Amino acid sequence: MKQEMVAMLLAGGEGKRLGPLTRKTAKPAVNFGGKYRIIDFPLSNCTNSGITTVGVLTQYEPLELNRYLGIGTAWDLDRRNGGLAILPPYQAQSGKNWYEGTANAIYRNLSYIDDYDPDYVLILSGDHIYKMDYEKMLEAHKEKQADVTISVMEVPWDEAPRFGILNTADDLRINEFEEKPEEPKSNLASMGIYIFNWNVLREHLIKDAEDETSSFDFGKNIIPNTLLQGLDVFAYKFKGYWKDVGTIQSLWEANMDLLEEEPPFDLYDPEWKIYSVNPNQTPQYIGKDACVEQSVINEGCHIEGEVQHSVLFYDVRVGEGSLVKDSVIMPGARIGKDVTIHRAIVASCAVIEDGATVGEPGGEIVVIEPHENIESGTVFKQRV
Amino acid sequence: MTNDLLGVINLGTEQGLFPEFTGHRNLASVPFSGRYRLIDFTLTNMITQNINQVGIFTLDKYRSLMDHLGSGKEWDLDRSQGGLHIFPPALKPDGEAYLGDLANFSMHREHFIRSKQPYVVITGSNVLTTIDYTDMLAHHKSMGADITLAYTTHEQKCGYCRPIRLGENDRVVGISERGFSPDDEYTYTETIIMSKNLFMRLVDEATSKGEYDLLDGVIRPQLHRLHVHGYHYVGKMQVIHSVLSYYNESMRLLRGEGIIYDFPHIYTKIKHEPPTRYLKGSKVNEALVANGCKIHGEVQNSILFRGVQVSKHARVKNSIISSKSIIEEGAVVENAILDKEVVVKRGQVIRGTIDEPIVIAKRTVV
Repeated sequence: MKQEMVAMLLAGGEGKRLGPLTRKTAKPAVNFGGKYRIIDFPLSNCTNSGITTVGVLTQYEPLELNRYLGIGTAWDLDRRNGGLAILPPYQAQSGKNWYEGTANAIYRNLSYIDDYDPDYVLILSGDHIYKMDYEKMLEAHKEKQADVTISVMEVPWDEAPRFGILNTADDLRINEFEEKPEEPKSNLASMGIYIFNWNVLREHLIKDAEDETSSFDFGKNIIPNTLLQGLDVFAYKFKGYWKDVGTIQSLWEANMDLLEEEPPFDLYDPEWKIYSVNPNQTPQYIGKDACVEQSVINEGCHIEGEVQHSVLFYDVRVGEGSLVKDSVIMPGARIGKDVTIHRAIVASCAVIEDGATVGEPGGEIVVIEPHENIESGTVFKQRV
Repeated sequence: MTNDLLGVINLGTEQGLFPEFTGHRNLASVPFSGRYRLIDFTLTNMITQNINQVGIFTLDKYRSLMDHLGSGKEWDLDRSQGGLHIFPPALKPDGEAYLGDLANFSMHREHFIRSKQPYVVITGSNVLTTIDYTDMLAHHKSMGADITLAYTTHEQKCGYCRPIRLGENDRVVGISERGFSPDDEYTYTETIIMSKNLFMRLVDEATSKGEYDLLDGVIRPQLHRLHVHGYHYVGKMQVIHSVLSYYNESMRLLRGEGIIYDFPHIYTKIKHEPPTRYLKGSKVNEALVANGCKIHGEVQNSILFRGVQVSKHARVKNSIISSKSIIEEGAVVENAILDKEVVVKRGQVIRGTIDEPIVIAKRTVV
């Protein structure tokens, strides 16, 4: 049963700033990139990095996410030993509680991890779009003989005050962690991806759980405590695309990034496939008078109108005479005839009836809610 | 819900058809409709009707088929009870291959003995239908038939199909050779239902007499003795047996006349391809496009399988491009069928005619 490294994926996030998109579903289940959900990225990274034991911690609106994850088949995580496990809060003799913070969520599942007797534990979140080889990070962790390794990204200096910033020595040893510093001393931002030696993390989680003043959080408590104790905490520099899609604007932008001629984020790398649950749709059909350019379109779509610079998920219909531009159309959405859509996120199964107008060129990003019906002829430029 | 039918997909009668595409695979694993193999349609039709035990009887070139089917997981047939069974051809003790499907059934008779279903439905992979097997079985039982054959009236009278003649009360009184004459009214749709016991008895009798074909060696000679009944199927039928039928049936899909929209879902092997990218300047019309493609050029009235690239200023018209083929800059492909991983180099022209589409073999570089 022993596994060298077990991944724990924090997927209980509410994603409040995504508004209607997360009203009935957890943030990691939010759709991205024409085919995927956010959680596909860390899960595919795990599989591609050779990590086969992944605990997914769920809490907020888990039904859609649970159904999506199943037993992990899509990511090749349906394993006899290890594999994917969904870990919701549970009732125990010590009481029944919700997860009270990221560290508490892991603490409550100590025995899940213990069962695999791992040397290392990888802590992940289900909030970001990125491709990363965690095995390389583990190699760096071993090479530095670290107790803790934190993955970091260089961010523009003027944006540094929005992040958790790590101040490091030349050898990347971390000597200070500052949460959203007004005057940052470095531009290395924590990505919320940690590798711990399991004995070190275990000890700190237990100690943290006993501290009544703690907020049971990795960023606020666990990491500062390991630094205070003088443990060997190192940074691991990640280069590449990494995007938090926690707001409507950033979710829309990250989708638009895929439409560049040379996209900054490549979904088409056969060496690093992104896996997702297959909806078993027929190939897309592009009709006689349709016009499709600069777009990413998934199976099951049926397009008779014009689609420009947009991302369409599976099973979307676009009727004759309609224009979809600079928009993201999620699974099962129905767009009638002579509809105009600019700069919108149309959530799954929404219906835009004939002749309606949604959004406007240069306007704010408009969100049409899941299953919302925009009636024929309506002009819907902004939600009031 | 259990089902009384044991599914049998018999590939033995499909040998030698469409040789341009079956050099390294059998007909059942010929790619069709952008992301499927022919076998997917019969398998899907079976599992959507809760047939949960399916045996596939192969005769040759089954590597590609086995690779495609795997454990049967995508069809929900990776079961501990029932599920998918793939039978390689049974060999004679001296290692010589058997002649036909009957010997294959006979050698694998253990499979039939072990299965619990009282009835068998026997069909192939190259006649695509959405026959409701459950309804056909109910019909079979209510007519008290020994054997029930499905037939259709209105669809194509292709050279491959076998006409049947019906007597009173839809009793089958004649089964002709392949090929249609203008007088023929009914087409056999290559689907048979009978009880497992009768099936096994017929197989045993016929093999002991040296017969090797189920329809011609067993059923046809006994039409007077057995009650063979016709079941009228009214849905669509697509038959793939040659280059031209493959081409025409594919083109029917583009006119919305194909069978693919008659299934709620069609199951196939998952490739985890990303969605298709359309670049600036792409011009695509009347096209069926699978995932993982990258389209920069022009595509008209064509089918693109998974992972096809159509480069800038390239033109694809009235064609079928199988997976991972690349049409380089400025190349032209018209009235053609490209097998997998073909590369059409920059500026090259491939042009067939509507009546004689040109076929380019797998991994050819033109």
